[in-house]
Amino acid sequence: MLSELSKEKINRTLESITEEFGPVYSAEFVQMSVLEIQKRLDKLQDCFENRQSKKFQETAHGFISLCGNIGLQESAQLARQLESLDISILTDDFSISFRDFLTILHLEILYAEECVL
Amino acid sequence: MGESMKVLIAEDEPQTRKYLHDILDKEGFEVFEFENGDKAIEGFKKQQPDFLLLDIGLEDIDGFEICRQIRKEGNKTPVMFITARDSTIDKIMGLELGADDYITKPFDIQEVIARIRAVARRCLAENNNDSEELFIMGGITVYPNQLIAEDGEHRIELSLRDVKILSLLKQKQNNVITRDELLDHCWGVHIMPESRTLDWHISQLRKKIEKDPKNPQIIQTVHGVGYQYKDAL
Repeated sequence: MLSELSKEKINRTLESITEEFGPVYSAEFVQMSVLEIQKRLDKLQDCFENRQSKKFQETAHGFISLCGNIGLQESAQLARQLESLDISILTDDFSISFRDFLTILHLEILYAEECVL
Repeated sequence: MGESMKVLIAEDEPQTRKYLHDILDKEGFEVFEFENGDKAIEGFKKQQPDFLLLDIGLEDIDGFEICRQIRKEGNKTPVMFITARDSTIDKIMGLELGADDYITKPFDIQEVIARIRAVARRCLAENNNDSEELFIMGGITVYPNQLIAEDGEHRIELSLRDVKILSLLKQKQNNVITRDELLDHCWGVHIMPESRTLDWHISQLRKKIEKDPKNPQIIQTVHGVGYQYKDAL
């Protein structure tokens, strides 16, 4: 379940984009950003499974602005935490962080898409 | 206000680069974008931009190094860092290198616009030392070099593009300006914005300057042709 704070941040960001560029741009921008996020997510999961620590950190870094651009602030914050972790030393904490990131990201994307429908 | 202002973006993340490009373009800048440091330095020498927007974490030459190289040659072009690095040490380093501002990603679009306008105002003030040529339209006074207007009670923030539109309408007051003319003059021939871009921009500008945006007195629509400003003599 997505928190009210996360929803509010997504709403506020998308409202600002719409105010500046109009509803058509806003919807297209969310759509393009989500496509890019999904593409990067596949890469991130590959890195995770293959324990490619540096690539994982670099890919996670990209999520900070990619998510933040469309207001997925919680995902952006979790991505910032992921980029500082060393995947080669896999711990339970890390697995939980990664799973949390995937869950929150999924929920935030669904909400952002609903907002611009 | 003279020719358009040029801004250079160095950002390796394509979607963010496009977003920044769109924000700056909408504000009325001529934008040159580059995906890495090498190309950005080359582009800087060629285009001589009015200011730079640099990501720090570029793959080859990072944003700090671009700034260092430019400053080493005595160039004082304003630099704004826009980066996901949020540590205090990075911010201090950026400012010590002579950067004018430091924005942390993820950024808020309104905040970026406000900071970009602040840099643009400084550039305009430096490039236009002579007294400012203000003009009056309807109930508002426009100060082109300060990117603001005043309606007697409020200060209204304007973009470079807003000022270009209002200046053109004022210059050609009582004459109709076609949509093509407006796009040509205020967006430039190098860009072919979609029709909706113009309509959206005008509607947003009306919200800022008109007392009643639904019944505009300053930017009047001439259906099927374009827009005009009628001076009430």
